[in-house]
Amino acid sequence: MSIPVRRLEAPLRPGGLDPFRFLWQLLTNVKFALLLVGTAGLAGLVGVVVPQLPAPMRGNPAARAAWLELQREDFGAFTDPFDRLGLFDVFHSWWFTALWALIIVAVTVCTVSRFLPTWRSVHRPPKTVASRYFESAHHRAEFSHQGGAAAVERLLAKKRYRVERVKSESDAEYLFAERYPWSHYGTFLSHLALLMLLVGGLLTVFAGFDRTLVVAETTPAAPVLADPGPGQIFVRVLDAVRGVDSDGNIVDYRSLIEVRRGDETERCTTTVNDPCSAFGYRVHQAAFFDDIGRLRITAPDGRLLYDDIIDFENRTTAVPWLRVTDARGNVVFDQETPQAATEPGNQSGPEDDVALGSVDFPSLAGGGAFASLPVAWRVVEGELRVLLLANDAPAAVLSPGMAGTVGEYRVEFRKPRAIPAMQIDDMPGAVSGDGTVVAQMPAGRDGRPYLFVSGIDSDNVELAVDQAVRTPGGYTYTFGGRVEAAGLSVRRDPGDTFIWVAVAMAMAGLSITFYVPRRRLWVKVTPSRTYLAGMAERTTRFGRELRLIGAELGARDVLLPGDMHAD
Amino acid sequence: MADLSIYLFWTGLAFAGMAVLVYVAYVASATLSLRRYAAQTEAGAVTVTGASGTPGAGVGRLATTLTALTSAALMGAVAARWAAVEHPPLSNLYEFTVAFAMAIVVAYLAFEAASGLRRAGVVALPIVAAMLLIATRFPSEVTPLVPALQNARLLTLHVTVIMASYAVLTVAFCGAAIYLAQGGEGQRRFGWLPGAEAAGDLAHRAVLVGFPLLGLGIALGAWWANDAWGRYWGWDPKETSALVTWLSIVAYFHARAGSGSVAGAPGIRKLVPERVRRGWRPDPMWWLVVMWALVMFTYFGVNLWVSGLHSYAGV
Repeated sequence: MSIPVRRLEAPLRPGGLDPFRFLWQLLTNVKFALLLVGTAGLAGLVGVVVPQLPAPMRGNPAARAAWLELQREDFGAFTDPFDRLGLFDVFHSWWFTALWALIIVAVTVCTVSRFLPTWRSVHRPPKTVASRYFESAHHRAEFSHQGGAAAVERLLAKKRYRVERVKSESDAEYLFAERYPWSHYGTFLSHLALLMLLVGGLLTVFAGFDRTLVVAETTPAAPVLADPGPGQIFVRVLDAVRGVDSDGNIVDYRSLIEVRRGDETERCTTTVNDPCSAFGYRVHQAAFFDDIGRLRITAPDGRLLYDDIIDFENRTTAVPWLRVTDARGNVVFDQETPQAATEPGNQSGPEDDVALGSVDFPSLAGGGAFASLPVAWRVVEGELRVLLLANDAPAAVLSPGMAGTVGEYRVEFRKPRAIPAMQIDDMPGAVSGDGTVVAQMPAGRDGRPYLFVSGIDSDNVELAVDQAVRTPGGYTYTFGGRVEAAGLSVRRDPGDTFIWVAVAMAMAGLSITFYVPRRRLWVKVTPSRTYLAGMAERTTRFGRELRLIGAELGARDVLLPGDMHAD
Repeated sequence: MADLSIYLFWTGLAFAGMAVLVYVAYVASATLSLRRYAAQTEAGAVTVTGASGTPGAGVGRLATTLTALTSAALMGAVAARWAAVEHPPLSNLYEFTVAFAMAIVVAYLAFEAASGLRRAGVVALPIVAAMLLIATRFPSEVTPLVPALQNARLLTLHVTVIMASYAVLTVAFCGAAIYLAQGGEGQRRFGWLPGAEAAGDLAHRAVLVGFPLLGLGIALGAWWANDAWGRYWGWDPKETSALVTWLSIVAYFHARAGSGSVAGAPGIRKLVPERVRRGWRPDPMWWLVVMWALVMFTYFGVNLWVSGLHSYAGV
């Protein structure tokens, strides 16, 4: 769009070696802004397309290296160059931060530099233009009509223009008309909003607090702040819940928590979408864990050695869920079968290892006697397969969903299950010299979990809930049952208010800029012709609007094809 | 209700298919009109004052009617689905794609009515039909809402506003595509298509609606993220991709203000050879094509191929 007005000041030009002036001009240049915006967009796109380093690994060199090794499968020789360029952590790379810093500086400079011109444009608009502008303006119209300048004035006033007769000559009247000039501040407001976003973001980064804790039920309240002073806050989980509907779909996560500071205690429920607020902090439900057991161990002399949780930390092992039916049709076993031992294969890795277990159930003979079926399983072609063994019967190999007969029992392999399982290195009372034992937490026939421990006795030990078991070594183990835990994110963000104010400012600014139809119009009325020329930033068809004004004034020669019907 | 929703969906798809055919016929009628005028002009029978052909008004009305019927059927499908799932049907790719197609139809009808630019339907309706065909590839089973989405107020607000913005921006793309096909401002390569000025105006007006809507949708998402995850921004792929889309429109506005080339900026112009600077001045409307490609990427690409906190595609 050509600018018709006389210049109010000389334009800034890079003069000689004045770096400040050059920089100022660069930062206020709309084409440079376009370059910055395009680069920011491209960088964002790279961060979306290229896998990004997970946040918890960012401060852990070993985890980071392992993650990069995984990426090598996809990126091959490009992995190291990509890593050096920060493409695996775009949003935390120095160049991305520098780019946005530059954008912020540019926005600041633009906002500052445009205030005075905006003010001048609104309050001291150029009311006259050179005559040639009526013949060269991008948006212009000319026509003949009755009524002269007065008719134009009346129509423009009806269209909410503020009209001013600025010059009268013998053969022409000159008018200046303007509509909603104040809306020019809209752009200024939306740019100012970006600066407000910056303030909010800086407050979030430098004054905000964010810590994620995993707190299990039954454990003591966990401290939140690093500083153990009087402002310390403690969080205790009273009940962590995962709601499951009748079809097994997870429909809810929530935790009943207690937040304490000094003598004050607040109790509230936090859910995924409804955090709990206490003492100026918000506690968010970030995760849920149910692979945690509670264990109490006492020494042979009665001393309490351990009374805490054992957290399986998502470590599991695959076991078969078997159902055994006897010859009378009675279901004698229907539960997960924990792994009792491992038969190493020929290869050095675990690929051909075979897991061994046994299915024990009351025998048909009665009188408290137990029958036992040894079972073995391993993964073959991506599927868990079970081998059933019987002393005097042929072996049966079952895939998930299959059933077979072993002796007088019918055995169905219902499905493979992943049960919590892990190695514990320093278990009191372990029979091995290094204290290593293996613990698993399968569900029993009644659905309640129990602890299955290998390594605290010569045989495996089953620990049912709240039933103490004393081993030959004199140690007593009591499984307190499965406990649930909540991952809680404790946060305080003084910046978020600024963010919402900035969003409101941006929306208001955009609405004013886009939807308030600002117009600036210069009119030359001669006895034979009327000339309109104007500026309107938010429409590409202002010329048509001017022609329609001509038509409304009664001009017959002004409309072009498509002016009335775009189609 | 779930079955009724499916029936209405297929009805909507059938209407959309018919609307595509009738819009093509409508545009074809403009071509025929052009040829007829040309023949008559050679015979000296009439004087042609405009460059465009006049399409058959009856065919045009039928096209608009079929579009309105598509809209009604899809609104019914969405309403029935809402009743069946007992929450806003915006929680997986099937539900969102149907609602997205519906929103495009509604937005297109609104802009067609406001601008009188009926021939833009020849670009808009095939997009709607394609959306609906793609929706048939996604699982449509009714499943409970996952805990993360259990905020009916914000789910409705955030997703609806984003969807509305994408729909309006799709209309903007249609205008930009026609504008560019015509060769840009002041050009008219194809007499049977709307003029570049009218198409450009349609695109620009749609952007003026879509841009703030997209900004508002992103802000509402930030509000929700602040509630659910405790932070308003986390560079999650979906939110980043939406931001990049928004930035592409910012680029469009700056390109319009700066005549479309970055090569003339101080500092840059010393680096870029004169020949390139003079030659490379893309029309700002190309940014709207980039913008729509980003809308599609954000919508399909990020949902299907990039994992993140917005992985609710249900596929």
